[in-house]
Amino acid sequence: MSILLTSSTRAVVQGGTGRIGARQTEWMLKAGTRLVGAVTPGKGGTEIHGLPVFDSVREAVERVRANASVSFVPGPCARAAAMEAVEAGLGLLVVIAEHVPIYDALEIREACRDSGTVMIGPNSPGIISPGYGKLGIMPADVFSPGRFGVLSRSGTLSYEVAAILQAAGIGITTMVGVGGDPIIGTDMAEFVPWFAADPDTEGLVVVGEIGGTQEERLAEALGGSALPTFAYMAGRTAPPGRRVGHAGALMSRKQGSVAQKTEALERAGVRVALSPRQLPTLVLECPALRGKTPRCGGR
Amino acid sequence: MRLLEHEGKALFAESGIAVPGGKLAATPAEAVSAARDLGYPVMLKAQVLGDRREAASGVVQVADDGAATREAARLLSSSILGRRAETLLVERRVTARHELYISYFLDYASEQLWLLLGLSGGESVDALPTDEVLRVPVAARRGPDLSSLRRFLASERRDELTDSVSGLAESLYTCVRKNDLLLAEINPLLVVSDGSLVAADAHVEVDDNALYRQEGIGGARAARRDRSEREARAEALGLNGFIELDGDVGVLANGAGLAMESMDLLEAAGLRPANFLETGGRITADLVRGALDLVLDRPALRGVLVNLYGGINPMVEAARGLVAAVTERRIEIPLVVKLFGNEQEEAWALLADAGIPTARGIETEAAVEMLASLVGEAP
Repeated sequence: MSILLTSSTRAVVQGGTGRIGARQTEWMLKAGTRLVGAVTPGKGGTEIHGLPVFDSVREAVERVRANASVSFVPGPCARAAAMEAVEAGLGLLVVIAEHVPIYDALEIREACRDSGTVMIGPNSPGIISPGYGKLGIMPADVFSPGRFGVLSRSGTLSYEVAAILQAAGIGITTMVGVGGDPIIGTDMAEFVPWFAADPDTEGLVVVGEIGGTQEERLAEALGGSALPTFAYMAGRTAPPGRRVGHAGALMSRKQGSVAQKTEALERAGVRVALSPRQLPTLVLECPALRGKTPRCGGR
Repeated sequence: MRLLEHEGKALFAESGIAVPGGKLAATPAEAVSAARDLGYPVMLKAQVLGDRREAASGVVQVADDGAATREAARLLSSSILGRRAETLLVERRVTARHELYISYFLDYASEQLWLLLGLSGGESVDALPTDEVLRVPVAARRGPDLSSLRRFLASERRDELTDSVSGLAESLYTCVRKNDLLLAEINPLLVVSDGSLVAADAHVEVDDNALYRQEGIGGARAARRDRSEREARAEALGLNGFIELDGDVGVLANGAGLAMESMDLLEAAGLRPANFLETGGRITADLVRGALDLVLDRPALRGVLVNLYGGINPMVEAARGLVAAVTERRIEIPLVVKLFGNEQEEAWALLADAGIPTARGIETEAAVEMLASLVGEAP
């Protein structure tokens, strides 16, 4: 199994007829993803890579029973496209676009929470479940099926980590790039219960970074979970973010430094690597996993 | 993007928030003329970005032409908070009965918008006891819940403020949403003798991702005073992120995570990064060439690490850009490339033809080690 992107996912590509969207649609199909159509207002009735194009998400729901969307609609129009997906009742929405205005992201997040839609992104590489395909822009060839869930705040760094895990024979159930923006739909901690409930996921690998408090909340969420977890975080030497005024000080004194995150995660039993290269060693040495099958093809 | 005080106040005023009468002055003579129009005593306020201008002598009160000339000349010629003021805000002095603090703050730690209200203002606000600061989460689609504000003022026995502060909180929220503000802070917010409220200062930050729909802030955007010259160049090139750092080894990466990982591993190997650079997701030969030029335009650089992952991006384009920059500039410092993913074989061949050292593994450490040994050997 895997989480969120599974055998029952029937996804449409919003913005799938644009230059980037069309190319990505082709790559997602090559990765074995079950796409049921594309949505571009005004292009209904045409085809892209053999997929029917619809004028609206609602039409795709009615005609081909779409239940998920991956959106390549660029920042300025991302909000309208996302709201359309929410109103059509989709269960999963992956927003790839970067440079989405923050208040637009906040409003999309609020609408998704009200309707029970799982929102990934914005500024996300997407989600990949080897065996079921991908809704996103990550390279499929470094993700092999296996028994680890991966949660990442970054894009390209998560590909490097995936390739390093793959080279060590460690495969994955699902990788989620939660998105690199300050306001995202679903943060890392919220994915823990899904992974914990997935019988094929035996552990988690986390790629975090400086800033925010996602890793701290993840540590709390892991407290009640039996999933062995391994983390690497970037930004040990990055300068802290510059915010003005007194509001930051009035809200919290937390900086979200890698040192603080490391402390929180280690207290929750997470093994923290100082570089991606150390991750496979930590995973393969883990007593909780010894004798089990974290290896590729474990499904 | 951060705005100067007078730019922030202009946005406040448009949303119906009272600000002290004021005029901008770019010379001591203009300051004197503005002061005479407004009537002494006036405040002279250096228009520079940064907190705590008072403590840095960037704000003074003057009572006559002589003092105005002298202080305006000082404020316009000296560096305040590390920056030179191009203009002064000459403002009517407002006598306050007392001072408050109010802001809307998009907090990255809690991933929420907050309304903050403090019952005193100015620099002392940091020292306020927690129960004297109201913190209300704000739902973006509904706006602030003013009933919690009323309850707070009642419990603090400050009911006389309820109407004015509620009204101001509403106006300020309108201003925040209209202009896509990540921070709109009024500190201090003056309560004057008739009980009305006046915004004595403005700390305002606009969402960069929303600048495309904020034409009214165009002037501030053109100036971008919150960036160094090279940081502004990075934006013009279309790079996603560029920050100057103290070290002497340049970094060029696609992806913020990959860039920070590169910096961390350089430090671990005893090398100090000179910059953070994240190209963003649309790699072209020109973008990479421009990015490398930018990294190299820094004196006393000892080496450069390039770290690229081509998930879907054309790595051949990236290699062409790197080769073009290196060939044209005939650089003499060590430069090591780690490039992986899409089209990697072809890209490696291009780099090899140009004699650029390339780490062909997936691990960034291998490239850092290669660079460290080359930098160590360099004279």
